[in-house]
Amino acid sequence: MSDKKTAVVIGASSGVGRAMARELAYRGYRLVLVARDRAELDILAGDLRIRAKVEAVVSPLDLAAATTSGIQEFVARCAADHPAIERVAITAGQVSDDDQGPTPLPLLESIVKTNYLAVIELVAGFARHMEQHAGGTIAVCSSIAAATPRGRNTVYSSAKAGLETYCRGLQHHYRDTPVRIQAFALGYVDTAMSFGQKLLFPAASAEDTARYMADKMSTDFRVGFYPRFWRPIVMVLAHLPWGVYKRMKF
Amino acid sequence: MQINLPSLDGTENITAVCMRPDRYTRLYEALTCDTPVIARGGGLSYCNAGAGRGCRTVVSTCFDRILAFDAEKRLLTVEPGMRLGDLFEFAVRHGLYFPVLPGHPSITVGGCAGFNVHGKTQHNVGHFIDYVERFTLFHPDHGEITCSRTDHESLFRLTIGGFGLTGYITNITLRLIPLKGRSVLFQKRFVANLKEAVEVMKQLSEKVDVLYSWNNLNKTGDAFGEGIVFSEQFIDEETSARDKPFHLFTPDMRSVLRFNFYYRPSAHMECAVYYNMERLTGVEKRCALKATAFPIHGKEIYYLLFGKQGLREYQMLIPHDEWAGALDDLRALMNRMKMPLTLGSMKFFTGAQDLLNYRGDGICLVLDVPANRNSVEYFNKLDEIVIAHKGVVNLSKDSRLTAGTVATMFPEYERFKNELNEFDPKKRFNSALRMRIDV
Repeated sequence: MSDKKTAVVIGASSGVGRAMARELAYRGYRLVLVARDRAELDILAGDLRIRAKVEAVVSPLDLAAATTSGIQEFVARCAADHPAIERVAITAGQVSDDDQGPTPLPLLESIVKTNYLAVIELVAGFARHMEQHAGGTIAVCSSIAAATPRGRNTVYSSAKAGLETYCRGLQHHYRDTPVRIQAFALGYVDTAMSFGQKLLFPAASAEDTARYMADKMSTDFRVGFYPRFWRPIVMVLAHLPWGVYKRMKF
Repeated sequence: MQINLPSLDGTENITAVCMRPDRYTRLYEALTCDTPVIARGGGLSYCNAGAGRGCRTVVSTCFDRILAFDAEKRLLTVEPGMRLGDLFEFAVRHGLYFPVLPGHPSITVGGCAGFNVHGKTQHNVGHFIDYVERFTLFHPDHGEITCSRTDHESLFRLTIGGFGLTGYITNITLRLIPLKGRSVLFQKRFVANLKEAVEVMKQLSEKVDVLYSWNNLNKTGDAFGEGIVFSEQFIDEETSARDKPFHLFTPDMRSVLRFNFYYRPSAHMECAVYYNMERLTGVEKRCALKATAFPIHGKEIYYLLFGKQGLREYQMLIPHDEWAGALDDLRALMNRMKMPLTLGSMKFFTGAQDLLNYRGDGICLVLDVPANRNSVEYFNKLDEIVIAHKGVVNLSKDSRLTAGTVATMFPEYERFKNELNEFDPKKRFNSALRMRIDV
């Protein structure tokens, strides 16, 4: 295998993941594209080979269905095939209109698995690999919902809050190493999740989001909002008294 | 999901079920249903060709990938949602060029196919169809059909310029041409009126790569159509311009301002300011190809200033031998109905008119007015002039043309209608445009 610097994009078949794959390809990374839909990954890999003249391999993985051992095997295989992993971007996620109030158990499990459990297993696995090699950056997508929970997307927001907390813990753990863990709390992004919805603020494009994340992956960024105007908004919402907060409809 | 889908000119707002699939399994599900469907690209056509009452709109912008590239044969196969800005940048990176580039880089390849668009320099390079090698069309009743000039030739001609009514193009192979230069020599010639503009353009048409004009149609008398003839020639030298990425433009962005700023005095002022700014900035400059490739890019504010009520654009193509007579009639109409004309522009066209394509031999004149209660009446009068002088109107720019007018203007209207209904008798693909022009 080539020792060219490698980036792994998990959730590469659509939205921010696809844009991230394209952005990293233009920056010269050899790519490992991961998502559940092999056919879509093959098309994307072909596109990147033509556009950016980079190597792109596909590795199908369904986060909702993957077992802990399955994820460990996946990380081990990736690490063996591509020792020079320098970037890992985990953009995969799951939202559901039925995730409201006390979400039904099967859906709850699936959302927790896709947004939290599988993601932290991947982060842990790749962080161990990077620690033993030359270091690198792992970026995960959190959400503004993590800091502003509400009656809709209850499980999703708690999973993202858990993910952010886990990332902060790992950041502290790896503070003196070349391993960087980053969490991007994304506001509205123009993806399948937000398409057609009436939004309070404009949605960022997936391309701009990917460009911002890719830029930050070369820095000591730890946790932050994108678009950045969300920071003061979330700050205000997070400090509203309950008497006011409970009247908010968002 | 029900979404408001406006036309770019802001005069047609349709609320319809809209889906934006991001993978093929979902695309085919979206296209295969009992209700009529229609594809929508960047949403930048002036009429609502990508939406219709009771129709399901399927947005193609997630299908923007390159599927194959043969550098030797200069053939590029892409999905229909690829935006022209993306296509332009890919081609230029490989020393190639796609010569049919309409106004904005946010327009998709699928949208270009649906309207068989032209660029700034139709008389030199032709229409979009002239660079289409083949495409694959999906229709729920026919499956996937690969069309080219040798396979399913009539469906090929019906689809390119068929307003998306024959089906959904899943991939399209385009023929690129060698890039003559990465920069352009951009020149201006100031002209006293529309007649002189045509004379200057005739002299230049064989000598330059790109040729178009800007004309002030608010002027009267001998100064009617005073303006500037712009020409561009490719030159092979690097410019120091910063390579800024193209930005997106959507119908929602266009209608972000609440009020219209264009009235008679402000339209006069806008034209005077533009003309004098152009006078101040010199008659010749060398600039990066990217800076001139899409004339609307960076000038979107012009469209925003029409506000929520929107604008109406009229694009007519008048045969050369009818031009002098048409010009007299136009001048008389413009003197009679004092509309605020915010834009006037001309290009030369060549080729034979067929089906509902906006093509033929002649002079193309574009004009914009704010969409108000007089604009439809004004455009109806323009229709009479165009019909009297054997011209045609660009259907992609117009959201009010009736079936009767289209049938009178386009000799092959019935042929288009018959061929379309023969291929899609159940009208599985339908839109506001199809309903309005009754095809």
